[in-house]
Amino acid sequence: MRVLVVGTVPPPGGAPARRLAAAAAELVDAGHEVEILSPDPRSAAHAHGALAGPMLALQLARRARRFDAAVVNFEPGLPLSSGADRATRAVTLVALGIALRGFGEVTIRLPSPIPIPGGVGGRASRELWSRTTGVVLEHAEDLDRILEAPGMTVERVRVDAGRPAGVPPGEPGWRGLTGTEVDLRELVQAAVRERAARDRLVNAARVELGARSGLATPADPFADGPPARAAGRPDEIARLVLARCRRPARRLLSPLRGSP
Amino acid sequence: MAEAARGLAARGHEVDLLTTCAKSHYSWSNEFPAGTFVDGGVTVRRFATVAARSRLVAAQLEQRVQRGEALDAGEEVAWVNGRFRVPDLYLHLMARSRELDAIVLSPYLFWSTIYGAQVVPERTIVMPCLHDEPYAWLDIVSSTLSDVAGAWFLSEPEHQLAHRVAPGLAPRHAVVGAAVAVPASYDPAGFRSRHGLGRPFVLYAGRREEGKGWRRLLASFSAAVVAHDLPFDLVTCGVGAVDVPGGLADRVVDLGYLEEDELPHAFAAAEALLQPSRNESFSRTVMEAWLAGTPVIADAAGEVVAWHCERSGGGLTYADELELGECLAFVADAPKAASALAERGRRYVLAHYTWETVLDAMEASLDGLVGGERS
Repeated sequence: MRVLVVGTVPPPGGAPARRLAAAAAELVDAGHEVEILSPDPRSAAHAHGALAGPMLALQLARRARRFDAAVVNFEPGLPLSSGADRATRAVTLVALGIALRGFGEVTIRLPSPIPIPGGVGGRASRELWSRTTGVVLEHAEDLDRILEAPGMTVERVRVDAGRPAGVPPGEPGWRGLTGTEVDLRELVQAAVRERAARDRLVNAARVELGARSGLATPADPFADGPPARAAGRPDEIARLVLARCRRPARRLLSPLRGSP
Repeated sequence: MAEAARGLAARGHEVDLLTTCAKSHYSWSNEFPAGTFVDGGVTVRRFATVAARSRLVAAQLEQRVQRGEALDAGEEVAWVNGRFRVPDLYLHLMARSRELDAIVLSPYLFWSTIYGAQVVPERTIVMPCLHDEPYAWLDIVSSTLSDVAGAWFLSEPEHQLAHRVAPGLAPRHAVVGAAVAVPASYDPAGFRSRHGLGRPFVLYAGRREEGKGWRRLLASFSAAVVAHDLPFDLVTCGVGAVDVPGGLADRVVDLGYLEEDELPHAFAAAEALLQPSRNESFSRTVMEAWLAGTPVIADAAGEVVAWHCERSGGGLTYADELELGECLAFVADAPKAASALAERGRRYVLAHYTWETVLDAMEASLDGLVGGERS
């Protein structure tokens, strides 16, 4: 797959830039053809360009035909600065949503705090989030916020706290470890923290879905008898999500079905 | 302490070991006969304990201490006297004090240490085995650690805690560590066979009680097993009621108290040692597991053990049951890397916590104390 990655990569560096570079490297390792578009002319990106405000949409639209997928890393100033007014925000987000129609898959990466002034929601962002096939959060704490986005669903969201250099990519993070790494403990410990953060996100979604659907909460080991079935298994989550999507559709269609 | 006494005696020092007739640190009742005998070159003197006059007052004070309430000086003294007293030991120290170059007292929270430290404080070293717990913050503990000549600590975090607890900490203090005997060999297969352990297991060795994190470990282990479909049973040995919840009954195996010569094989047979206790001043089991080539997974809130894990590069820590689950999944998925971690732990123990290293540090401290006093 041909993937366009948009955002700041090193040099000069910094943790967010290194994280994006690591994510791009993982895509390359996975066999994708990756091109990076960065706003920083000093960076080692394939291309540089002005990406503030509606310019981001313009740059994306120009490249849409050459790529199957886009990964857009939201950053302060890319596309919105913290001081952006409502009109700029609206125009930028609407234009971005339209520009992303040209890509088959769209991933939005969001650092914490999410650099979208005025929040992720609102009518202006509807097209953007409907085009988005995946959202990558830096912190699980932002999950509630991103779920406020119109049409956003939990299964499209994942957390990537950043993989330290040296941890092999893939699932699980430590299977490629040989035991001879100098910083073995640090690598494993970081992988443990990262994977647990993801587990926390999944569990939060399970609890939320469990509460909404009346499913049992996770097993209490101090209850008598064998552990109860854990709530929110992946198939149950998928079924619930689908059910929730179908209900509004049925409501919309029912008057038409009922008419002669 | 007994092993240190024997080690110092083997190096040519004349060592007396003063202790109580109690066997249980819960009841403090006199189960051993009072008297003197020689063991491993050390003269052991046992003294009878005396119970508190009013258990009710003692219990009330204990509750207040546990709640973190401030006690006045008189109440603190009453609290110290409320568990047990060993007046004969105190009198013996008084009578023999002129013959002694140094007195080493341990641990910090018992009558024998608090009172014993007052006999000849200028020649007394306290080995407090300090934890960050309500008792540690009593004024009487602070003054004991400040008024004696020196203190021996088992780890750097304990040393740092002592400075917080006792701002006027005795100037001649040192981190001497604690020593672990290195077994000549391990028999993991024999251990599994002797105890009928057919499935891979992780081990908890220690007192099964709230203060050691046992119940918290059960809950976390249960969550981890469910979340990751782990192949491990939890095997435990030690004293205290296990109280396994119904949902975990088929995954927890209690071996009860294991004899000292059987314990190393338990460490070697386990896939990992779990250390849920947050109140450790050293954690001997962690060292013994590493020596046996077994990785260690510890509660991150246990400052001392987390310090060992980080310093050695040989152990993992967990902040909650999700991280414990991931640590266990790592051990299950990557046994080679887990063994490599344990090997780093083993090298760490051999570098810092053999008897030779620890006794060297103790002797250096004692030489400084005796020499300093003479000069």
